[in-house]
Amino acid sequence: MAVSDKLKALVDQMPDPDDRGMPTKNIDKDKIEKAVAEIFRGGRASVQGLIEMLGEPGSPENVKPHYALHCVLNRALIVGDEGARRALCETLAANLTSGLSTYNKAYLCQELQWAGGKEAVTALAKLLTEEQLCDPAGMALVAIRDGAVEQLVAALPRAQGRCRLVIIHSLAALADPRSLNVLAQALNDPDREVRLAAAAGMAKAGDARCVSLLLTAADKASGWERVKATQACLLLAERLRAAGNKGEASRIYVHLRDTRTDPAEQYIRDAASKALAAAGAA
Amino acid sequence: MQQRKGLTRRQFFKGSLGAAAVFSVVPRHVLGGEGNTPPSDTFGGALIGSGGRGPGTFADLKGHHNLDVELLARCDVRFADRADNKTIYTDYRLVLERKDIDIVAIGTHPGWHALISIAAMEAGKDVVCEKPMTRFIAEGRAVAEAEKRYGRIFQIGTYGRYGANRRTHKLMASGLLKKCPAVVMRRGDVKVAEWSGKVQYEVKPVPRWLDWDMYCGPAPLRPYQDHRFGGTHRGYWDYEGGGLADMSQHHLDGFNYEYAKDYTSPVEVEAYAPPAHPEACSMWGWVELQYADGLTLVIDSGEWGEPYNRKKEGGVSDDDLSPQDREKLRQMPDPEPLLGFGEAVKTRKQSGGHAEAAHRTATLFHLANIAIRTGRKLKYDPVKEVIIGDEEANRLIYQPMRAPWRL
Repeated sequence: MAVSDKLKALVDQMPDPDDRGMPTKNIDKDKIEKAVAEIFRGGRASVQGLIEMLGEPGSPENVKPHYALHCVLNRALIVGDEGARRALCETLAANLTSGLSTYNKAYLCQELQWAGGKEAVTALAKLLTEEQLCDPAGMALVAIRDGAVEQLVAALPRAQGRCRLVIIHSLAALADPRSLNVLAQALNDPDREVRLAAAAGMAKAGDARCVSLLLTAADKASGWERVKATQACLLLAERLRAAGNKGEASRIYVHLRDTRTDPAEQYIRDAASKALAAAGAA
Repeated sequence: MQQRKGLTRRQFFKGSLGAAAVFSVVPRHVLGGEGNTPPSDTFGGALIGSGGRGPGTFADLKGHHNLDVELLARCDVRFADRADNKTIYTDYRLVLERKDIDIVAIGTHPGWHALISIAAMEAGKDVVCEKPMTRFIAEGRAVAEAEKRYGRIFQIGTYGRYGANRRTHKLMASGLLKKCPAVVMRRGDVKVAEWSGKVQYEVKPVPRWLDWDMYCGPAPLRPYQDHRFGGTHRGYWDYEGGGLADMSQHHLDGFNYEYAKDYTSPVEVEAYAPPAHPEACSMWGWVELQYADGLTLVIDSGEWGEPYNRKKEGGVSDDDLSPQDREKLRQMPDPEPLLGFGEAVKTRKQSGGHAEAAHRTATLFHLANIAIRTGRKLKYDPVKEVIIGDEEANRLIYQPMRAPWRL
């Protein structure tokens, strides 16, 4: 689709960078907002045009459409037009599998992280198995939440390396009960970071079925992994206690109090003892 | 264990345990008795983020906090071509594994502050962290939880509260003033243009001495451009929040203590600014933040647009109380003195610039930046720490992190 002269003229209303490359001079709020409102009225076609105008990172031709695209998306949020927000985000999502550069696909993911909803999750999930784009796609899915867990779980069997880590990491951030089995399996992954992400997600989920698994993982870990795995146990205990399951919370505290006998882990014993006392089970 | 005057822990260790002395400094947990009080005042220290303010922050441990700290490890993403993982590191996780380090000074860019502070406390270390404390609000909550969970000492690297008006603090903390009429103006010195980000730049190869992936850390892995690195990182949402975030932990630390707002936050926030850029911090005019008790805080940049003129500046005094309440106030004890970091480390009592207080100060400029970035008036729940009725704005309260980094 050709970019119209009208759209080009509106985009040109965006501020020019100063001599340092920064938008700090001659910033006319009214002028920007009027141009953004006009582009916004153009709907999907205008947003598609903006996407086609995007350039390479830092290039002069990228500066104005890059900024304008963000402003137009945010305009939908400012005026509270849910239909427009969804339509604009669908346009962004449709471009995630286009011939855009990796840099600009990552930018669209970032904008979907800002304003996207369920309408974008299927398209974002397609990037979860691309090493250069799985990170921004995963971050957008975590921000959107709605519908993300199913897509992340479905993508996992096809993912390897960095992509696999990003998926487990994203599932951990969402801490949805539906992903507990996946996280439990990942607790024995050969990759330390995958194991730690799984432990973090299980802790955050606050499910009593995870107690033994996390304690075992923390007991056998060493160094940095032991620090983080122990933190996961303490977090799980807090979640269980907050949910009224004092018994399982106390089981974690007692275990940590009684097993962290190295002088270097005195502070863990202290933390567990203090929490146990606070839980009223000392 | 008894204190041994004039004897460092190193000397003590060598003298009493002889050949077992493999550590350069004996860690506090080895020789400390109840409460881990060390037998001498020598601590093992690490500096994580050794550019900019980092060396000064570490030096302050001795000069400002009167702690005898030996620098055992320096960690910085600039050491990619010379890290030996003995004294020079690029990965802070290896530093925190060390059992001989008691205190960590953090001078990285603020995008790392929360994660390293939390990790250090999880590893049993005390922390002094440069300002601003965090990059977003949920990070601050996580730091405060870690401080409490592990019983560690945290001190933010700004000290405005130590010189704040204690009389106003006593009045505000008393609970006697039901409605606060004060309008506090903070004008200028927020370096808005100075700490803006570039939108037009040249992408360059990553220098061989720099671990760019580690530098970006929890933020998106961007194409390298040198303005994002070093002190000019302040101009990017990925790492900080412009001059507003960079300066306001200083400016508002005293305000937060003085007006007894260390355990709460504003309920309404409104900004006057042009539409914000998605990555680069840029111009804004003013932000008005209002608390549930009526107290208004205004931050006016003085660098863009019309100056703030909605409300007239004014403070509070005992005269705002009834005669009976003035008498009640007079009979109340004066506020306890705020402990410095050094004293807090030695006594295991909370430091004056503790995590909750620093978090609540940081929340002010984070909320201000969210109002600037979203272009919307915000209603905030200071207990749940969420923005009410604005799902997308809440995405800036808790921002997803790039793997493997997480709160």
